[in-house]
Amino acid sequence: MTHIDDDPSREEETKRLLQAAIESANDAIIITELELESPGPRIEYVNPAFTRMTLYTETEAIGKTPRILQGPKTDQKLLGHLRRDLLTGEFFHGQTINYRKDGTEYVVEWRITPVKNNAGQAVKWLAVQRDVTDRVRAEEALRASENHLRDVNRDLEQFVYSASHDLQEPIRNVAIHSQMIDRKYRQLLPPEGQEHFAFVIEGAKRVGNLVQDLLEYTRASKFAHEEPIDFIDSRKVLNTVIADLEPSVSETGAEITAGQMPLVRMRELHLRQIFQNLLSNAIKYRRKGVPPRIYIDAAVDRQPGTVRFAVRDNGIGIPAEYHQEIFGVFRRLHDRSYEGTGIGLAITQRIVERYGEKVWVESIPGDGSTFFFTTSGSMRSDA
Amino acid sequence: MPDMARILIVEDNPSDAWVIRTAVDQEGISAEYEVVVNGEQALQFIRQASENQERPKPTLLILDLNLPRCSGHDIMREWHTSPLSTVPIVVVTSSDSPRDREMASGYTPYYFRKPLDFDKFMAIGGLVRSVLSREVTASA
Repeated sequence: MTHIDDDPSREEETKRLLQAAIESANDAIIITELELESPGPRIEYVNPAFTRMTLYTETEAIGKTPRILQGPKTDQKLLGHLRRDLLTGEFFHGQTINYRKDGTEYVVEWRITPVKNNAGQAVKWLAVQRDVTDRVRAEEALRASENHLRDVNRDLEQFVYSASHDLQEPIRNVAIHSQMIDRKYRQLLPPEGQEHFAFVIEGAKRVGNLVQDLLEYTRASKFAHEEPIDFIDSRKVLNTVIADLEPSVSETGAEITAGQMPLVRMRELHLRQIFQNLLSNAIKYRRKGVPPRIYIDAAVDRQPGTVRFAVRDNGIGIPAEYHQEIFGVFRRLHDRSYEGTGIGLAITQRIVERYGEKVWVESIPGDGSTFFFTTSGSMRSDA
Repeated sequence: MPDMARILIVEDNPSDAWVIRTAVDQEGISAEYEVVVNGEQALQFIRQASENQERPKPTLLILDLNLPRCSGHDIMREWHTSPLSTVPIVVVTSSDSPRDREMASGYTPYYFRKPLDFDKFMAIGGLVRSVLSREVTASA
């Protein structure tokens, strides 16, 4: 209230209103004298919320110092800051543990401002305090459960990694030796036995591939945030991937072109895996008799500092009800005439999400698909 | 190629060691093999080679990376600082991890990933042949 009316009765009314507001406030309000040295600053006023919070009555508090609220767990360093801030005439804001009259602890968040006279000199301190014990405890509980979840998740990941790693060897032994037996002794088996044995070989290879892919999946997003990441040229990475895909490109007559390509903040290996998965899917799920046409470009995303890639194809497309499902581990929409275990999109999603970004698809069956993903980066001016 | 190759195989999976030998034999390479099954034994082999330099050196090391007691990385490091440093290494592993590939590339260009397919695994024989003939050409 900077302009108090000259009319004495209006001034009275305003005072009454302010008093009522202070008395009914939920936050504790304390006014003290300016002197900081002990026994100061003496308390001159407390509101009812102060009593509710501290259990000290108005009579017990007046004339005492707010230090009566402090105890062994009160943050002494913070009190040092408080003193420094007040001496330099600054506003103070902090949080610490204080003690009620009965010795019980509570967490208080408080701010202190100087009250100034007309000449601009500080004449009193005004402290507003709030008991935030419940909030702080809830935050602590949330943090603890977050940490616990993270630990459990890490253990689980480690378990999957170790399990898939250790399974590789026995599965390879079965796969290799069953093929060996098939080579050498096939003629000794009746036709039905040969058929059974072909299933054994097929099964062993398939388990082997699943385990290898699972291993790759658990490894995919490791190291994503461990070291600072530099900008890399996404066009270069794309070119490497296209070169790697050369056999299937020439086999299918695919044409891969690119528009603007940004600099992105990502590990090269991760971007390579994403392109590799999206492009090989675009080639694999082509329409019969239609050579794949794939176009990759990027644009600035709504989020500042973020770019959005789009990988567009003219393939068979994906029905809307599967747009989420395709990102699941070992999810496949098609029969075995399409190779693969169904891990590629799961790996892609895992990598993208570990960077805190998103991947999604827009597609109409028969009319191709466009896979989008976002990443931290910038469109180059020379692009 | 030498008349008789001496190949040291460091491999804890007997099946893989067997496939490797079969593949090398099928290439018509005459070789005698020493197989050690853990990292400790491999390090001991290197120590003995350092102590007794009269002992004939192997012509090739075929090394699995994931071994009990001591990693393939440790073995390659020791190998490279021993009198055996000129003996080529072929890494044969189930690992496709970029870290393993990068680590191995510091010691050898020959990295073979163990496949699930028998014919593809047998290709290790061809790789061994080409490494052995390259080494002979290089030292000739």
